[in-house]
Amino acid sequence: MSGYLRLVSIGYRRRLAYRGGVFSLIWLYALTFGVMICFWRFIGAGTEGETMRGFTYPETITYLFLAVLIRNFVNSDLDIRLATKISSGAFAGDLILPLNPILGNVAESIGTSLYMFTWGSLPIGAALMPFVPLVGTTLARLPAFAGTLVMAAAMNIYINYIAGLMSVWTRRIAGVLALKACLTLVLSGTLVPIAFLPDWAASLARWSPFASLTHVPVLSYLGKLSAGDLTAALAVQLAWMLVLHVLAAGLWSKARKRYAAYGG
Amino acid sequence: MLLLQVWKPSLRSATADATDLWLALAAGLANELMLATPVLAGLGLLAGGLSAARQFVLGYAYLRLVRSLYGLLLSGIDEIPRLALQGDLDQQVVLPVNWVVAVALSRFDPSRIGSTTFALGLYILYASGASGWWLAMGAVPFAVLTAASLHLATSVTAAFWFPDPRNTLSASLERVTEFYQYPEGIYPGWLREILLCLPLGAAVYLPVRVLGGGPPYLVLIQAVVAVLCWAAAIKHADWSWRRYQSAGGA
Repeated sequence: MSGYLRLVSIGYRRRLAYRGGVFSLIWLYALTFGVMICFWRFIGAGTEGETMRGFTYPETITYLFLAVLIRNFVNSDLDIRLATKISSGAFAGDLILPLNPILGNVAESIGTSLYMFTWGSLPIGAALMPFVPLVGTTLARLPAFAGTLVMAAAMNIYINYIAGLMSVWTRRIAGVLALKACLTLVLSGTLVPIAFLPDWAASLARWSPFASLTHVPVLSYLGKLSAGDLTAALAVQLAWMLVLHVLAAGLWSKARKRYAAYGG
Repeated sequence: MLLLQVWKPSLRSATADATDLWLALAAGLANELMLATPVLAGLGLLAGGLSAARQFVLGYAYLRLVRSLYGLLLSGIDEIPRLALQGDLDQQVVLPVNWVVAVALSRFDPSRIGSTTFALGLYILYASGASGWWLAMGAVPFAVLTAASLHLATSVTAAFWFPDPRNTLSASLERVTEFYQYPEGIYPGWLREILLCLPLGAAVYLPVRVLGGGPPYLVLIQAVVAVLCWAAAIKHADWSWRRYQSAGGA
């Protein structure tokens, strides 16, 4: 266990050297949120005070603001880390460590996510919050928000792990990762709230594992989930995690047999 | 002929593996659909009917077309900071063609074929009825030239003046470009003025105004701005080039 904790610490400290980058991140996110606010204010103005598919304008902005910040740290670099190591042959080095090679890479990515939370999402959120029209939450909703967030982070690790392992079968993983990024961004509600998608796409998103990544935590923050809905959402997250676990384990057993380290 | 020799290897390398090529094409198209999601979702909620929706899609499609064409043909420009940092620029400067052109053509990105097709389809679908649609279409190369000039200026600055592993300058240009994918009308007055004064304002907003019934000479202004931007960017690149110190395989 101490070996994995050390890897978490390494994943965190490796990025710590670049913490000055938080200022450029704040600047870049300010531009992104600037466009987003202008766009949705214009769209919202057309609805003349009514809600847009159940969301007021400040709720829409809060939804997207939180979704982007959550994705910033929940989406670890596990997929790229695994893909790079597998394609370069460096993964052979992980196989001779006295640790499970996959769990070792997961531990390093958790360290990276912790860094992205403390030196990314948290300061960006604090710096830009005064300039963004947000709605608050209640103390009672925070435990549910935190619970769904932890589940989302765990699910994301499995999804990235599966995507990263694909590099055993393809030479250039960029296409697979780009497809995964598209699916994740659209179906998780990071680009637009899921309720704003066409009905068929919204249904698809709600049934997919991606909705659990940002849509569910944000809805629990906004108080849009009743106690029953929240229990159901947590159960769905758990069920998807089990499915992804089985899928990931099966894929790893096949990948291990196929993997041929040829280095650099 | 020499330029073709420079371009051919990047084309061959990008199309060497059929699976990778198909994956890249699918990823490019999926990426384009993903980027269009807010616009398409917004249209469903937009007041003002077809004309407002058309105004939205036209500007969006025009900018996406310009960006896709830039990415497809000239995105090697974005590699300048990495090449300079690693000393690999040496290989480009010994070629008997201008080094900027050699670098620009060194990366053919097939994933942008899907994006270009999507943007072109969207543009033709929404612009074909407009009066100046062929004029705006003819202005696309100038808009691409403006985009290339801005990318060249930021890449050269990042490579020779302010090396930055986080590529803040290029990332800032990308984020500022995002403002232009929506009609100028959605921004407050002061921001609209700033956006229009920047080179991308001339590259994107002027042809879109022509599509909306504006005077055709706006396209001429756009072309002049594009040529001036390119001349300035090349001058900046040649001037900055003197600071290059080959680091050699760092």
